[in-house]
Amino acid sequence: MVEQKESSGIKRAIVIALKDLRMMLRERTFVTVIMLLIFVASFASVLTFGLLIMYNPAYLDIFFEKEIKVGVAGKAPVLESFLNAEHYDSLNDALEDFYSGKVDIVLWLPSEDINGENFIQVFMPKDEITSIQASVFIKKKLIEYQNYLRKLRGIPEEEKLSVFTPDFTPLNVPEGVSMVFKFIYVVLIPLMMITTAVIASGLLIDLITEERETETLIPLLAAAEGSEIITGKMMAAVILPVLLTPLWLFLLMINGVEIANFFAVLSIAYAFSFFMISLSALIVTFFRDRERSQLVFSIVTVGLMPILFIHPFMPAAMITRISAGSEYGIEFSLLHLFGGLLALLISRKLFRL
Amino acid sequence: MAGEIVSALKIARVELKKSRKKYSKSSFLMLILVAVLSFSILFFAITSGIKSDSYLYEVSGTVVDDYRFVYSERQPDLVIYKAPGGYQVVVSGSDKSLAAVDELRKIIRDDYEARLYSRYGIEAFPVFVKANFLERDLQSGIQPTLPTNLSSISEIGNKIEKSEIDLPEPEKKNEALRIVKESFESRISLKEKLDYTTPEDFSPQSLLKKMFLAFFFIIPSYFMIQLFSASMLEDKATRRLDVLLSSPVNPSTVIAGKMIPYLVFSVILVLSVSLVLGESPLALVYVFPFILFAFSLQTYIVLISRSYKEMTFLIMVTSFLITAYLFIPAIFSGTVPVSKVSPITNMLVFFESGKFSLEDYLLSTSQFYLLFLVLMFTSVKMMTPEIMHSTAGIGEKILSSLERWIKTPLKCFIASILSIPFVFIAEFMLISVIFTMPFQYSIPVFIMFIAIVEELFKTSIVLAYYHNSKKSILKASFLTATGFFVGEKILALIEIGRTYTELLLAGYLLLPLFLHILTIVIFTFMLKRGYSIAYISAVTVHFVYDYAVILMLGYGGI
Repeated sequence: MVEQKESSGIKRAIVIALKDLRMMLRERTFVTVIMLLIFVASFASVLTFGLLIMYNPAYLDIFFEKEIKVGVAGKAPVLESFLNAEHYDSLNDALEDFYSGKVDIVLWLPSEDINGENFIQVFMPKDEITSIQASVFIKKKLIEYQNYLRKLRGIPEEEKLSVFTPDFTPLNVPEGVSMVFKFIYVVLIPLMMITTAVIASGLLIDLITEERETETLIPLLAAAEGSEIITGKMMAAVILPVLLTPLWLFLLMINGVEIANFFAVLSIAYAFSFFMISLSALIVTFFRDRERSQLVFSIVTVGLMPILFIHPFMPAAMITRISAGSEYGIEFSLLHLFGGLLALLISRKLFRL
Repeated sequence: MAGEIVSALKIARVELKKSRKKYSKSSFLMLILVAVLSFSILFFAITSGIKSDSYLYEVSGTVVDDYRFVYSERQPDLVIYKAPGGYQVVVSGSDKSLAAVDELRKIIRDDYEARLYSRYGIEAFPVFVKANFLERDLQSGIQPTLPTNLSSISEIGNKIEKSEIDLPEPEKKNEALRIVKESFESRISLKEKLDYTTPEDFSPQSLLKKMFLAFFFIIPSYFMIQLFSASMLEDKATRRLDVLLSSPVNPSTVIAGKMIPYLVFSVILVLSVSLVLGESPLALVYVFPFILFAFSLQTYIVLISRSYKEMTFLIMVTSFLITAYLFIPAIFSGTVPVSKVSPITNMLVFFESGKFSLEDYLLSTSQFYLLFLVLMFTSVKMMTPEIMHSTAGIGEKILSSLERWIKTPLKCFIASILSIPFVFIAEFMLISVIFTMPFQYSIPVFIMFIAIVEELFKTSIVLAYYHNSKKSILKASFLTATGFFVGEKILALIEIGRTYTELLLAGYLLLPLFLHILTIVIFTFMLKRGYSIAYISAVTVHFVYDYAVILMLGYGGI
């Protein structure tokens, strides 16, 4: 008799969850959610692209083929020899050619001191793409110049790093390749995990407060027990990340991103979503209405997010490492999942309609 | 007018009372407690430093003393051997192993610099460099011309020569020592000083690092905007808005009254942030138009949403998009003129230089003022129970809001001009995203999206008119196309817009007008067969036209 009651209670909870999910499908909220995930991924890649072209010399060669014309003003014969530059006696003459477009960049070193310190001023065009190319070029040349001056002073050279493939063929690894790699695993994948969790938690707050504020909770309570409604609403919120997480992981894989340890990655992402859903359940229990609940949830989320990145066993660091194929601490992914499920159970008990 | 202001202030007072009721002493205290706790955690996290790449790379052979590397004999990314004069590394071949090499190289370099400093002191640092960025007049986007006369160039040169470090030898040494010391201190600094650096630290002009600063000005206002939209939604769901609308008060007064308290708090927040960060309160002038736009956008979303869920997700997507629109151009600051389209770029330039450029300010903020006005106008038109509580889809509701005022061909013309800022934002975002795609795909994909976006706006205007009146439909279509063309030409008058319109193939005299008329006339004739067929036809013709122009212009490699 008790078992029968329990099973019909679960059925009613499933019906409530499916009703909410059907409504989301009807309103095309799912489409909005998927669009949000795609936008997050796209704009994160724009940000990386910005970083790449601003800070990474290797990537610039793809976009720019223009040769940089350099002018050097002042008495700096050694510096000039490094730059294959146009010589100018005065800065004014050099700037004149800079403004007329004859040179792209001007270096000014009034008097070169081989044995002392050399303070060089560099003049580059503002608001022109040339300035990125010019600054990257000049940085490389100035490092070479610095190394030469160091050599003259009898300072030992930097230790060489020779790279080989597994069959011992020498390999040239371009500068800055780690930036793209780290963008995908350190930024993008944790960001997708966080976005999914925030979406699911926000959904739970809306599902509850909408019933409260539009007073549809009273008729709903006539049809089902309070605990069944809570289970149903939480189930709807849980189903969302359960479906969305493998979806964005597959989308990344289709785009050529390798995801190692798929199920461990899934465990961490699920655990984090479950934790956030539990948190939102507690918030909505205490603050009751949508306005306050969503506000508190946003404030808590802003404070909580950086914490995910500061310790090697926090979810963001775990998902980064494990999806990239490093197995250090992989056993903790199950612990995360267990923690997430436990959080759901506790919040389910504390949840009040 | 005075009466409307009084009514708006009355509604604002009621709004405040409502909030006071909701935020009782205990819940307000709780909220403060949560905020203090949350921001303390945030502060702790920021000061602790990001370590999410810990133990990311697995190495064997030699231990690397860095938190990112972990020693592992099982399938390591790198096997490192110490060799005379350096290291030999065997990579596994994966992307991760190549990234590990890149990181290892930086570690070796930093270690080398640190060792040189401890052994040789300042003698090991013979070169210091400082960047100066000078604006050249750009014509045809790439080739600079001689804009400045010779005397003004001399002035610049003399001024710089005077500012040259001309210190006696010991002080010069001290200055060098300070720079090197700063270079080794890896502290997080929000404010970057424009000064001499070692060549390793020399980086191109970018406000990227300072963008954190801008976030502090924008994000707190989002909390206020969130409160406003939640309150507005509650009033809509509980039909309090209907009661207000049945009174003699204007719908625009209702919205203004509800918005005022939150807007005032947003302003206070921005001013407080500038006080805390020690930046000029003029920052408000830069962020205020954006805040206004965000308020109007959320008002519009509240009115078109059918449920809480729908509103939440629409707000999430749009907030993300408009924030990206605000910040993405700033990434490219100092390198492409289009970066000035964002008030954030101009605000950060103002912080850095202390100079206020009215032209740049108007250029970056006028779009937000205009968007605010258009969205508010459309929202006011939607403030009827039939539209607000309709269960129709979002698309239908947006169309209904247009139908409420596009009733004459002349209004088609006006609506078309007013749609340009929206089109600009949509296409700008598309450029940003598609730009990162492989070149051979990016151009056709981009052209396709331009056709989709532009035809969506134009055909919606014509469709709204068509639902109101079937008379003079051709005239309405013609004026819609002309309005769009005029809007594009206004955009072209602005420096940034010039580059943009060239990119969108809109800069060739009357040719774009021909295109806009052609597609919209095709749409009008096909409309009897249904909107979808008519829209697809217009998009197809638009795409074919643009693609043909691209090929004719000689981008044959695409």
